[in-house]
Amino acid sequence: MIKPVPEPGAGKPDSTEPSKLNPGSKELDSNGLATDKVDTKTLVSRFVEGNDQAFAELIARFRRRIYGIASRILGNHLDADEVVQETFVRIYKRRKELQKISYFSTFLTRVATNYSIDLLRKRKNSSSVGDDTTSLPGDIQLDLARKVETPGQVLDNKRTMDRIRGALEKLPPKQKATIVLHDVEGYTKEEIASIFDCPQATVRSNLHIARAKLRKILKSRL
Amino acid sequence: MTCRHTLSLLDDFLDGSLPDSDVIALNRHLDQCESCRQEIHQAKAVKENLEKLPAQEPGEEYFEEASRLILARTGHLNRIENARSFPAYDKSAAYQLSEAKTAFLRSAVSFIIALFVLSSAVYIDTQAPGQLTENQRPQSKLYVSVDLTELQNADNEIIVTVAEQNKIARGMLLMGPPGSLGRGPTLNQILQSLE
Ligand SMILES: [Zn+2]
Repeated sequence: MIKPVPEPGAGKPDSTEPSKLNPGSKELDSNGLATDKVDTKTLVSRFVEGNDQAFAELIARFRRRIYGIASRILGNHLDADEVVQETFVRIYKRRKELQKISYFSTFLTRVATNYSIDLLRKRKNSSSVGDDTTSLPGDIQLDLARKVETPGQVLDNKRTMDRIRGALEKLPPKQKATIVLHDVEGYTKEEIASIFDCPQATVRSNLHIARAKLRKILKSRL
Repeated sequence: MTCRHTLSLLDDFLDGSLPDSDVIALNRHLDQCESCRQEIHQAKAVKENLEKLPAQEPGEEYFEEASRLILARTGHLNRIENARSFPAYDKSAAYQLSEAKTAFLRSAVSFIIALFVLSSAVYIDTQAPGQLTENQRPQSKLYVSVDLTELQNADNEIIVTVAEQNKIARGMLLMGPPGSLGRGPTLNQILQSLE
Protein backbone atom coordinates (compact mmCIF):
# COMPACT_ATOMS: atom_id res chain seq x y z
CA MET A 1 0.00 0.00 0.00
CA ILE A 2 2.90 2.34 0.59
CA LYS A 3 4.91 2.81 -2.53
CA PRO A 4 8.67 2.76 -2.18
CA VAL A 5 9.66 6.37 -2.59
CA PRO A 6 12.91 8.06 -1.67
CA GLU A 7 13.27 9.35 1.88
CA PRO A 8 11.56 12.74 1.98
CA GLY A 9 13.10 15.95 3.17
CA ALA A 10 16.22 15.56 1.07
CA GLY A 11 16.01 19.17 -0.10
CA LYS A 12 15.53 20.50 3.40
CA PRO A 13 18.22 21.07 5.99
CA ASP A 14 18.85 17.93 7.98
CA SER A 15 16.41 17.81 10.81
CA THR A 16 18.13 14.96 12.55
CA GLU A 17 19.77 15.51 15.87
CA PRO A 18 21.36 13.21 18.40
CA SER A 19 19.34 12.20 21.41
CA LYS A 20 20.07 14.30 24.43
CA LEU A 21 18.05 12.18 26.80
CA ASN A 22 21.21 10.71 28.24
CA PRO A 23 24.00 13.22 27.97
CA GLY A 24 27.41 11.72 28.41
CA SER A 25 26.33 8.14 27.98
CA LYS A 26 25.97 7.41 24.29
CA GLU A 27 24.41 4.02 23.81
CA LEU A 28 26.57 1.75 21.74
CA ASP A 29 25.14 -0.81 19.40
CA SER A 30 26.45 -4.31 18.83
CA ASN A 31 29.01 -2.97 16.38
CA GLY A 32 30.23 -0.41 18.87
CA LEU A 33 28.64 2.47 16.95
CA ALA A 34 26.81 5.29 18.63
CA THR A 35 23.08 5.14 17.87
CA ASP A 36 23.09 8.56 16.22
CA LYS A 37 25.37 7.12 13.54
CA VAL A 38 23.03 4.22 12.85
CA ASP A 39 20.77 4.64 9.84
CA THR A 40 17.05 5.01 10.29
CA LYS A 41 16.23 1.64 8.79
CA THR A 42 18.39 -0.19 11.35
CA LEU A 43 16.91 1.87 14.16
CA VAL A 44 13.39 1.04 13.00
CA SER A 45 14.05 -2.71 12.93
CA ARG A 46 15.54 -2.51 16.43
CA PHE A 47 12.51 -0.52 17.58
CA VAL A 48 10.18 -3.17 16.14
CA GLU A 49 12.19 -5.83 18.00
CA GLY A 50 11.49 -3.95 21.22
CA ASN A 51 14.67 -1.92 21.65
CA ASP A 52 13.66 1.05 23.82
CA GLN A 53 16.76 3.07 23.06
CA ALA A 54 16.06 2.83 19.33
CA PHE A 55 12.61 4.35 19.86
CA ALA A 56 14.07 7.21 21.89
CA GLU A 57 16.59 7.83 19.13
CA LEU A 58 13.90 7.81 16.45
CA ILE A 59 11.93 10.41 18.37
CA ALA A 60 15.02 12.58 18.73
CA ARG A 61 15.75 12.23 15.04
CA PHE A 62 12.30 13.13 13.69
CA ARG A 63 10.62 15.31 16.32
CA ARG A 64 11.71 18.59 14.73
CA ARG A 65 10.47 17.60 11.31
CA ILE A 66 7.09 16.54 12.70
CA TYR A 67 6.84 19.72 14.72
CA GLY A 68 7.68 21.83 11.65
CA ILE A 69 4.96 20.21 9.53
CA ALA A 70 2.36 20.36 12.30
CA SER A 71 3.08 23.95 13.32
CA ARG A 72 2.84 25.11 9.70
CA ILE A 73 -0.39 23.26 9.05
CA LEU A 74 -1.99 24.18 12.35
CA GLY A 75 -0.33 27.54 12.96
CA ASN A 76 0.13 27.27 16.71
CA HIS A 77 2.41 25.62 19.24
CA LEU A 78 -0.18 23.85 21.38
CA ASP A 79 -1.67 21.94 18.47
CA ALA A 80 1.78 21.21 17.04
CA ASP A 81 2.83 19.80 20.42
CA GLU A 82 -0.23 17.58 20.48
CA VAL A 83 0.61 16.30 16.99
CA VAL A 84 4.23 15.57 17.90
CA GLN A 85 3.28 13.54 20.96
CA GLU A 86 0.29 11.80 19.46
CA THR A 87 2.22 10.88 16.30
CA PHE A 88 4.96 9.06 18.20
CA VAL A 89 2.50 7.37 20.55
CA ARG A 90 0.56 6.13 17.51
CA ILE A 91 3.77 4.98 15.85
CA TYR A 92 4.57 3.05 19.02
CA LYS A 93 1.16 1.40 19.05
CA ARG A 94 1.43 0.52 15.36
CA ARG A 95 5.06 -0.61 15.47
CA LYS A 96 4.24 -4.07 14.14
CA GLU A 97 3.19 -2.42 10.86
CA LEU A 98 6.64 -0.91 10.50
CA GLN A 99 8.06 -4.27 9.42
CA LYS A 100 6.09 -4.01 6.19
CA ILE A 101 6.85 -0.42 5.25
CA SER A 102 9.74 0.74 3.11
CA TYR A 103 10.17 4.25 4.41
CA PHE A 104 9.72 5.10 8.04
CA SER A 105 9.75 8.85 7.56
CA THR A 106 6.95 8.64 4.97
CA PHE A 107 4.88 6.56 7.37
CA LEU A 108 5.65 8.99 10.20
CA THR A 109 4.79 12.01 8.07
CA ARG A 110 1.56 10.35 7.02
CA VAL A 111 0.50 9.78 10.63
CA ALA A 112 1.48 13.34 11.57
CA THR A 113 -0.15 14.97 8.56
CA ASN A 114 -3.39 13.05 8.90
CA TYR A 115 -3.57 13.90 12.58
CA SER A 116 -2.84 17.56 11.79
CA ILE A 117 -5.61 17.64 9.20
CA ASP A 118 -8.06 16.02 11.63
CA LEU A 119 -7.14 18.56 14.27
CA LEU A 120 -7.46 21.43 11.80
CA ARG A 121 -10.94 20.27 10.78
CA LYS A 122 -11.94 20.00 14.42
CA ARG A 123 -10.63 23.53 15.09
CA LYS A 124 -12.36 24.94 12.02
CA ASN A 125 -15.65 23.40 13.09
CA SER A 126 -15.42 24.63 16.65
CA SER A 127 -14.48 28.21 15.77
CA SER A 128 -17.03 29.83 13.48
CA VAL A 129 -14.87 30.15 10.40
CA GLY A 130 -16.48 31.20 7.19
CA ASP A 131 -16.62 34.93 7.56
CA ASP A 132 -14.04 36.12 5.12
CA THR A 133 -14.07 39.54 6.67
CA THR A 134 -11.04 38.93 8.90
CA SER A 135 -8.64 41.31 7.26
CA LEU A 136 -5.08 40.43 6.48
CA PRO A 137 -2.54 42.85 7.89
CA GLY A 138 -1.36 45.64 5.62
CA ASP A 139 -0.25 45.55 2.04
CA ILE A 140 1.82 42.67 0.81
CA GLN A 141 5.27 43.28 -0.55
CA LEU A 142 6.18 40.25 -2.57
CA ASP A 143 9.75 41.13 -3.24
CA LEU A 144 11.79 39.02 -5.55
CA ALA A 145 14.77 41.18 -6.42
CA ARG A 146 15.86 42.52 -3.06
CA LYS A 147 18.99 40.89 -1.75
CA VAL A 148 20.07 43.14 1.11
CA GLU A 149 17.56 43.70 3.86
CA THR A 150 17.24 47.06 5.57
CA PRO A 151 15.35 47.17 8.90
CA GLY A 152 12.34 48.42 6.97
CA GLN A 153 12.57 45.48 4.62
CA VAL A 154 12.81 43.06 7.54
CA LEU A 155 9.56 44.54 8.78
CA ASP A 156 8.13 44.22 5.26
CA ASN A 157 9.18 40.59 5.19
CA LYS A 158 7.57 39.96 8.55
CA ARG A 159 4.42 41.54 7.25
CA THR A 160 4.65 39.42 4.11
CA MET A 161 5.04 36.24 6.15
CA ASP A 162 2.08 37.20 8.32
CA ARG A 163 0.00 37.70 5.18
CA ILE A 164 1.14 34.38 3.75
CA ARG A 165 0.19 32.67 7.01
CA GLY A 166 -3.15 34.44 7.02
CA ALA A 167 -3.83 33.32 3.46
CA LEU A 168 -2.83 29.73 4.30
CA GLU A 169 -5.38 29.77 7.12
CA LYS A 170 -8.12 30.22 4.56
CA LEU A 171 -7.31 27.06 2.62
CA PRO A 172 -9.21 23.82 3.26
CA PRO A 173 -7.16 21.40 5.45
CA LYS A 174 -6.10 18.97 2.72
CA GLN A 175 -5.04 21.70 0.29
CA LYS A 176 -3.24 23.49 3.08
CA ALA A 177 -1.38 20.34 4.07
CA THR A 178 -0.43 19.67 0.45
CA ILE A 179 1.00 23.12 -0.15
CA VAL A 180 2.80 23.10 3.21
CA LEU A 181 4.40 19.74 2.48
CA HIS A 182 5.35 20.66 -1.09
CA ASP A 183 6.25 24.33 -1.09
CA VAL A 184 7.29 24.84 2.54
CA GLU A 185 8.71 21.48 3.61
CA GLY A 186 10.08 20.52 0.20
CA TYR A 187 8.44 17.09 -0.24
CA THR A 188 8.04 15.87 -3.82
CA LYS A 189 4.64 15.14 -5.36
CA GLU A 190 5.55 11.45 -5.33
CA GLU A 191 6.24 11.56 -1.61
CA ILE A 192 3.05 13.47 -0.89
CA ALA A 193 1.05 10.95 -2.93
CA SER A 194 2.59 8.26 -0.75
CA ILE A 195 1.85 10.21 2.45
CA PHE A 196 -1.81 10.72 1.50
CA ASP A 197 -2.03 7.30 -0.15
CA CYS A 198 -3.54 8.87 -3.29
CA PRO A 199 -2.59 9.20 -6.96
CA GLN A 200 0.00 11.83 -7.91
CA ALA A 201 -2.61 13.47 -10.13
CA THR A 202 -4.63 14.26 -7.01
CA VAL A 203 -1.60 15.87 -5.41
CA ARG A 204 -0.97 17.93 -8.55
CA SER A 205 -4.54 19.16 -8.71
CA ASN A 206 -4.67 19.90 -4.97
CA LEU A 207 -1.44 21.84 -5.25
CA HIS A 208 -2.69 23.72 -8.32
CA ILE A 209 -5.95 24.70 -6.63
CA ALA A 210 -4.18 25.64 -3.40
CA ARG A 211 -1.67 27.87 -5.19
CA ALA A 212 -4.36 29.55 -7.27
CA LYS A 213 -6.44 30.23 -4.16
CA LEU A 214 -3.45 31.57 -2.30
CA ARG A 215 -2.64 33.92 -5.18
CA LYS A 216 -6.22 35.09 -5.35
CA ILE A 217 -6.39 35.77 -1.62
CA LEU A 218 -3.11 37.66 -1.63
CA LYS A 219 -3.93 39.56 -4.81
CA SER A 220 -7.29 40.72 -3.58
CA ARG A 221 -5.58 42.39 -0.66
CA LEU A 222 -3.08 44.29 -2.77
CA MET B 1 -0.30 29.33 -26.84
CA THR B 2 -3.46 30.45 -25.10
CA CYS B 3 -3.55 32.11 -21.67
CA ARG B 4 -5.44 29.11 -20.30
CA HIS B 5 -2.79 26.71 -21.59
CA THR B 6 -0.04 28.94 -20.18
CA LEU B 7 -1.62 28.94 -16.75
CA SER B 8 -2.05 25.16 -16.85
CA LEU B 9 1.73 24.87 -17.20
CA LEU B 10 2.35 27.30 -14.38
CA ASP B 11 2.84 24.72 -11.63
CA ASP B 12 5.36 22.66 -13.54
CA PHE B 13 7.11 25.84 -14.58
CA LEU B 14 7.36 26.93 -10.94
CA ASP B 15 8.62 23.54 -9.87
CA GLY B 16 11.17 23.40 -12.67
CA SER B 17 9.67 20.25 -14.12
CA LEU B 18 8.48 21.75 -17.40
CA PRO B 19 10.18 20.39 -20.55
CA ASP B 20 12.48 22.86 -22.30
CA SER B 21 10.28 23.07 -25.39
CA ASP B 22 7.33 24.14 -23.24
CA VAL B 23 9.47 26.66 -21.37
CA ILE B 24 10.42 28.31 -24.66
CA ALA B 25 6.79 28.44 -25.78
CA LEU B 26 5.72 29.77 -22.42
CA ASN B 27 8.33 32.51 -22.43
CA ARG B 28 7.27 33.49 -25.91
CA HIS B 29 3.71 33.94 -24.65
CA LEU B 30 4.83 35.86 -21.59
CA ASP B 31 6.69 38.34 -23.79
CA GLN B 32 3.39 39.29 -25.35
CA CYS B 33 0.91 38.84 -22.49
CA GLU B 34 1.04 41.26 -19.55
CA SER B 35 -1.75 39.38 -17.68
CA CYS B 36 0.06 36.01 -17.68
CA ARG B 37 3.33 37.75 -16.82
CA GLN B 38 1.67 39.25 -13.74
CA GLU B 39 0.18 35.91 -12.78
CA ILE B 40 3.48 34.09 -13.03
CA HIS B 41 5.30 36.84 -11.19
CA GLN B 42 2.77 36.61 -8.38
CA ALA B 43 2.90 32.81 -8.29
CA LYS B 44 6.69 32.82 -8.12
CA ALA B 45 6.61 35.37 -5.32
CA VAL B 46 4.13 33.32 -3.30
CA LYS B 47 6.16 30.14 -3.76
CA GLU B 48 9.42 31.81 -2.81
CA ASN B 49 7.83 33.30 0.29
CA LEU B 50 6.39 29.94 1.24
CA GLU B 51 9.86 28.42 1.00
CA LYS B 52 11.11 31.07 3.42
CA LEU B 53 8.16 30.77 5.77
CA PRO B 54 9.84 30.50 9.17
CA ALA B 55 8.87 27.63 11.41
CA GLN B 56 8.05 28.28 15.03
CA GLU B 57 11.05 27.48 17.19
CA PRO B 58 9.93 26.17 20.57
CA GLY B 59 13.50 25.58 21.72
CA GLU B 60 15.55 22.53 22.58
CA GLU B 61 14.04 22.20 26.06
CA TYR B 62 10.62 21.74 24.56
CA PHE B 63 11.81 18.88 22.37
CA GLU B 64 13.53 17.15 25.30
CA GLU B 65 10.39 17.48 27.40
CA ALA B 66 8.17 16.27 24.56
CA SER B 67 10.41 13.20 24.13
CA ARG B 68 10.21 12.47 27.83
CA LEU B 69 6.41 12.70 27.77
CA ILE B 70 6.16 10.40 24.77
CA LEU B 71 8.45 7.84 26.39
CA ALA B 72 6.51 8.06 29.63
CA ARG B 73 3.24 7.55 27.76
CA THR B 74 4.58 4.52 25.96
CA GLY B 75 5.96 3.12 29.18
CA HIS B 76 9.52 3.17 27.96
CA LEU B 77 11.17 5.72 30.15
CA ASN B 78 10.84 3.72 33.35
CA ARG B 79 12.24 0.59 31.77
CA ILE B 80 15.15 2.47 30.22
CA GLU B 81 16.01 4.21 33.47
CA ASN B 82 15.68 1.03 35.52
CA ALA B 83 18.08 -0.73 33.19
CA ARG B 84 20.52 2.17 33.63
CA SER B 85 20.49 2.53 37.41
CA PHE B 86 20.87 -0.94 38.90
CA PRO B 87 19.45 -4.41 38.33
CA ALA B 88 16.09 -5.28 39.84
CA TYR B 89 17.43 -7.65 42.50
CA ASP B 90 19.67 -4.92 43.93
CA LYS B 91 16.69 -2.69 44.25
CA SER B 92 14.71 -5.36 46.10
CA ALA B 93 17.68 -5.98 48.42
CA ALA B 94 17.77 -2.28 49.22
CA TYR B 95 14.05 -2.41 49.84
CA GLN B 96 14.44 -5.37 52.22
CA LEU B 97 17.16 -3.50 54.12
CA SER B 98 14.92 -0.50 54.60
CA GLU B 99 12.13 -2.83 55.77
CA ALA B 100 14.48 -4.36 58.39
CA LYS B 101 15.54 -0.92 59.55
CA THR B 102 11.95 0.14 60.03
CA ALA B 103 11.16 -3.04 61.99
CA PHE B 104 14.18 -2.55 64.25
CA LEU B 105 13.25 1.08 64.90
CA ARG B 106 9.70 0.10 65.80
CA SER B 107 10.77 -2.56 68.31
CA ALA B 108 13.36 -0.19 69.83
CA VAL B 109 10.69 2.47 70.37
CA SER B 110 8.33 -0.12 71.89
CA PHE B 111 11.06 -1.30 74.24
CA ILE B 112 11.84 2.25 75.42
CA ILE B 113 8.14 2.96 76.08
CA ALA B 114 7.77 -0.30 78.02
CA LEU B 115 10.85 0.53 80.09
CA PHE B 116 9.47 3.98 80.85
CA VAL B 117 6.11 2.61 82.02
CA LEU B 118 7.76 0.02 84.24
CA SER B 119 10.19 2.48 85.80
CA SER B 120 7.47 5.04 86.46
CA ALA B 121 5.42 2.33 88.18
CA VAL B 122 8.37 1.48 90.37
CA TYR B 123 9.07 5.16 91.01
CA ILE B 124 5.51 5.98 92.04
CA ASP B 125 5.42 2.96 94.30
CA THR B 126 8.66 3.97 96.06
CA GLN B 127 7.50 7.58 96.44
CA ALA B 128 4.07 6.75 97.90
CA PRO B 129 4.02 3.33 99.48
CA GLY B 130 1.08 2.20 101.46
CA GLN B 131 -1.87 4.31 102.53
CA LEU B 132 -2.78 7.73 101.27
CA THR B 133 -2.64 10.41 103.98
CA GLU B 134 -5.68 12.46 104.87
CA ASN B 135 -4.67 15.56 102.85
CA GLN B 136 -3.85 13.53 99.75
CA ARG B 137 -7.49 12.58 99.52
CA PRO B 138 -9.46 14.61 96.98
CA GLN B 139 -11.37 17.47 98.59
CA SER B 140 -14.03 17.80 95.93
CA LYS B 141 -17.60 17.47 97.18
CA LEU B 142 -18.51 15.40 94.18
CA TYR B 143 -16.06 12.77 95.26
CA VAL B 144 -17.65 9.81 96.99
CA SER B 145 -15.64 7.03 98.43
CA VAL B 146 -17.29 3.81 99.40
CA ASP B 147 -15.89 0.87 101.27
CA LEU B 148 -17.41 -2.13 99.55
CA THR B 149 -17.17 -4.23 102.71
CA GLU B 150 -19.34 -1.74 104.60
CA LEU B 151 -22.19 -1.64 102.08
CA GLN B 152 -25.19 -3.17 103.77
CA ASN B 153 -28.85 -3.51 102.94
CA ALA B 154 -31.81 -2.62 105.16
CA ASP B 155 -31.42 -5.93 107.05
CA ASN B 156 -27.76 -5.18 107.84
CA GLU B 157 -26.59 -7.82 105.41
CA ILE B 158 -23.42 -7.23 103.35
CA ILE B 159 -24.43 -6.49 99.74
CA VAL B 160 -21.08 -7.19 98.08
CA THR B 161 -19.92 -10.63 99.06
CA VAL B 162 -16.27 -11.42 99.80
CA ALA B 163 -16.08 -13.44 96.55
CA GLU B 164 -17.39 -10.46 94.60
CA GLN B 165 -14.91 -8.16 96.34
CA ASN B 166 -12.11 -10.47 95.26
CA LYS B 167 -13.29 -10.27 91.67
CA ILE B 168 -13.49 -6.49 91.79
CA ALA B 169 -10.00 -6.26 93.28
CA ARG B 170 -8.57 -8.51 90.60
CA GLY B 171 -10.31 -6.43 87.90
CA MET B 172 -8.94 -3.22 89.35
CA LEU B 173 -5.45 -4.68 89.37
CA LEU B 174 -5.80 -5.64 85.72
CA MET B 175 -7.31 -2.36 84.56
CA GLY B 176 -5.70 0.30 86.68
CA PRO B 177 -2.45 2.09 85.96
CA PRO B 178 0.49 0.33 87.57
CA GLY B 179 1.47 1.53 91.03
CA SER B 180 -1.59 3.65 91.62
CA LEU B 181 -3.84 0.90 92.91
CA GLY B 182 -3.91 -1.33 95.88
CA ARG B 183 -2.98 1.29 98.46
CA GLY B 184 -6.26 1.45 100.24
CA PRO B 185 -6.44 -0.50 103.49
CA THR B 186 -9.51 -2.29 102.28
CA LEU B 187 -7.80 -3.53 99.15
CA ASN B 188 -4.77 -4.62 101.14
CA GLN B 189 -7.02 -6.54 103.38
CA ILE B 190 -8.72 -8.11 100.40
CA LEU B 191 -5.39 -9.13 98.92
CA GLN B 192 -4.29 -10.58 102.22
CA SER B 193 -7.51 -12.53 102.49
CA LEU B 194 -6.81 -14.01 99.06
CA GLU B 195 -3.73 -15.83 100.36
ZN1 LIG C 1 -1.61 35.16 -21.40
